[in-house]
Amino acid sequence: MSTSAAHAPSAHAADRAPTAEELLGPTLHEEVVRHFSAEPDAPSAAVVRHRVRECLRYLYLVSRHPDRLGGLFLPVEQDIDEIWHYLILQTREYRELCEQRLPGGHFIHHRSISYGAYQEAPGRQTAAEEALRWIPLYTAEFGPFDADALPHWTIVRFLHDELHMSLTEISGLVDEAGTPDGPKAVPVRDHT
Amino acid sequence: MDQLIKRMTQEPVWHKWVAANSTQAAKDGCISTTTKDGCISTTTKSGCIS
Repeated sequence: MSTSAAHAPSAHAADRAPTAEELLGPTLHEEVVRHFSAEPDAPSAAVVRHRVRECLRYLYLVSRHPDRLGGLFLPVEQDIDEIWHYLILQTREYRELCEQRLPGGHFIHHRSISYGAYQEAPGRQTAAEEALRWIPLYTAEFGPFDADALPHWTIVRFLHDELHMSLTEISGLVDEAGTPDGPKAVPVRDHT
Repeated sequence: MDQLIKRMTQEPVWHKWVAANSTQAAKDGCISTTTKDGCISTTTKSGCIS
């Protein structure tokens, strides 16, 4: 993923992050929900709405923290990626979303890469830190991870299912710098 | 956080982590199995194809 330098006025100033429906507009939001609810073996519309919500939260975080999150491996599950693909294909609306509605105001690119190839270059420690980096930034913006978000964030699900951490413990993880933006200089990588 | 990073990079845990990501990465670039839906062009909003 790469990002441009142009920035639109930040929606963050409004105290809370906008909802998926606010970011997409009601028409496109319903269109997305309808599309993915109509797929074979689709989950309930409620689950699809949560997927859309988490997709927009992912894009919001990338937009807001391009220096820390740009170029990192997709932290959400494939179902969320499919929603991102769908939004990208609505090219006019996607550009407007990126450049006018998301807080960074820059176009968010997409690139496919396998995790095996991704984690080779930086090594385990850096790749692990990158995966964990999303958590404090997410909770600072949207509050603690809840049961509806859990299945869609790969690192959260992994910590919960494999390392047996509770959602409270996961949401309590703090940035090493103690602030969502943190002073650490983190290089932007070339892939998402 | 440092302790958690160390725990994640331990051999058996790391292999599970890579597997958790490889499951989804393996689907990258696949074609959709769903039926074609209607597209619209970038220049006009009319002329949909179902």
